[in-house]
Amino acid sequence: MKVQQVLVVLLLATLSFETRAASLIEKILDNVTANINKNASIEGPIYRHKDRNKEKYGDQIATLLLKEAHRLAVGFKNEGNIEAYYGFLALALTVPNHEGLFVHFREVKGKSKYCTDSRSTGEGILSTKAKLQFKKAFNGVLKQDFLVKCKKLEGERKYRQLIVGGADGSDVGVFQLSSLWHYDEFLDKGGYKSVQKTIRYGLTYLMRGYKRAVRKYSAFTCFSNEDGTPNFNNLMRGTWSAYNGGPAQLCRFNNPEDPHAPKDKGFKGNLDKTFALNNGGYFGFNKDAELELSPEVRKAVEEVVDNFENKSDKSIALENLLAI
Amino acid sequence: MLKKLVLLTFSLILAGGVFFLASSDSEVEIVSPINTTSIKENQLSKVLPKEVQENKGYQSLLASTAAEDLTKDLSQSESRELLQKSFETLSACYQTGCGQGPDHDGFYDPSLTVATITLKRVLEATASNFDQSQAKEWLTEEALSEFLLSENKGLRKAALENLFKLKGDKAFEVVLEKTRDLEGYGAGDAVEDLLTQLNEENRSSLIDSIELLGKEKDSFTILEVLERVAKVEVDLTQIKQIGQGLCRFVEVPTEAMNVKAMNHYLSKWAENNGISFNLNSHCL
Repeated sequence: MKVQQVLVVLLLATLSFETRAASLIEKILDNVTANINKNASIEGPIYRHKDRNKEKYGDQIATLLLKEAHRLAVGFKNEGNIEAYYGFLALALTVPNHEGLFVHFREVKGKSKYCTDSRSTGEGILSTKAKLQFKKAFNGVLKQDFLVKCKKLEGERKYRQLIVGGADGSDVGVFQLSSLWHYDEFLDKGGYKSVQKTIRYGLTYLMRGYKRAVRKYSAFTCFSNEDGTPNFNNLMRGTWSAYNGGPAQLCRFNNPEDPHAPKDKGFKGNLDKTFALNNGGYFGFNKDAELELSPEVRKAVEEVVDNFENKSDKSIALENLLAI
Repeated sequence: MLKKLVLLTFSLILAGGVFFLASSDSEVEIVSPINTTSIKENQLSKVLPKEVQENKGYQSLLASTAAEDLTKDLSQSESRELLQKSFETLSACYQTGCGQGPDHDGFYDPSLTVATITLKRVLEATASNFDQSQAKEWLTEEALSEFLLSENKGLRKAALENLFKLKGDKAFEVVLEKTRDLEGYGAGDAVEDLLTQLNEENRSSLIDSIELLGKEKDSFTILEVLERVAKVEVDLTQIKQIGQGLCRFVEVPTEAMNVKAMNHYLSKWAENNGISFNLNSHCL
């Protein structure tokens, strides 16, 4: 009987572990978030883990992504290059998931466990230039503090947070834009204060690589099928390799010996998640952090994948979404 | 019952562990690992000459200060020295990053290096203080037109702005001449900038240049230009001449996608001018 009791306790503990594992996204976010000044104004959507589906966070983020991606890629559609158009839309649904788990801002309870000073002050940033630029943008060197130390939030019921990821906390927001490389046109202009502006900047940078790759695909063996036609799955993977490693890395994904190959493999995993969206797949970082979509948005997202896979252009739900 | 409970407990522990590990792999870019051995970042303090390092504005230059504030508290001679010497030094090495290499994550974009961005700010500040910094005495057409080849749009724009201040109306021809050497996004941006200076006298020079580009450049470059000229006045003979240069792509299977795009932009351009044109029919 005693052994059974111990086992029951163990089972409950295990189930508790499962519960914790179910909110893995929260655990990850706990380590990559910095606290926002309570007086700072931000443009959401804001991710609240428990309420995300009640508040239709998935709809909001998917809509923003599709609208901004459409704005940048509609030229391909007008040219009649349907695969390139839907390929970019699918890429837009993948990169922010891979980079930032679809989260730019989040809100949590005002508890000390959700507050660490180092991410807000950029203390862990290795590059001196990146640290300087991070501080200029966020710590009031010239402007009002956007990110603040915990003591400035004492007594607050809720914390609003910004994702500052990468191993040293120098990569900002849902597109993980580096404080070293993206200062002038993004951080210095305060683009991070708005989810939409962050998406616009991130997708614009992504499009630079994508468009060049699409136009010049035949100059890269990694982008051509055996019959000489473009391989759009590879074009999408190569675009992320270049987004992650720089413009010279378009074919990095094709080299399993590359030191960054695990990252490219990881991206493929998330690209596959996007491709599974028209087959009952979930939208979000993992099943337990699924961002439920309303039937209208879900249909639009499915149309993106359907059209990409079938080289078709049947997009009633997408057109409706873009028209709003 | 006991055996079942034991089995269930350990299965759940195992499943939980596997789940945690699976979720912690490289599909989570936000917590990517770090390689501190490869950092070779900002080298500005090593490359800038003594005159710049002793200048009052040196710290502002290092501190990513915006162009409008770069020379704010400097005298005329200090402004000139800071801008001129920084320009001369950085323009000689920016193409190779002036010593900067990939960051700890392996990322390297030559158009966004510290040297390129600093050079952009220096040229922006020069354009804003063109007379005060006596830029006519040290900026040259040759040096500025080289920046039109840069992958950084801001740097191209700042160079162009200085070029127009330096050469006045003659800058149009200089840029047009240089456009023939440009590739990809640079070519498109240069043409877009030229459109702001377009008039009845120089319009045919622009059309001639587009025709030349069509004959010589790759389809990416040509498309970057064609995407931007829809509103330029053009006649059927000119459209046909431009189209003629593009016929070399029509039979190339790997260019099918680009030919379709060229046809789209040419037809639209023609249509805006009340003309009907189809590249495929034209090239038959």
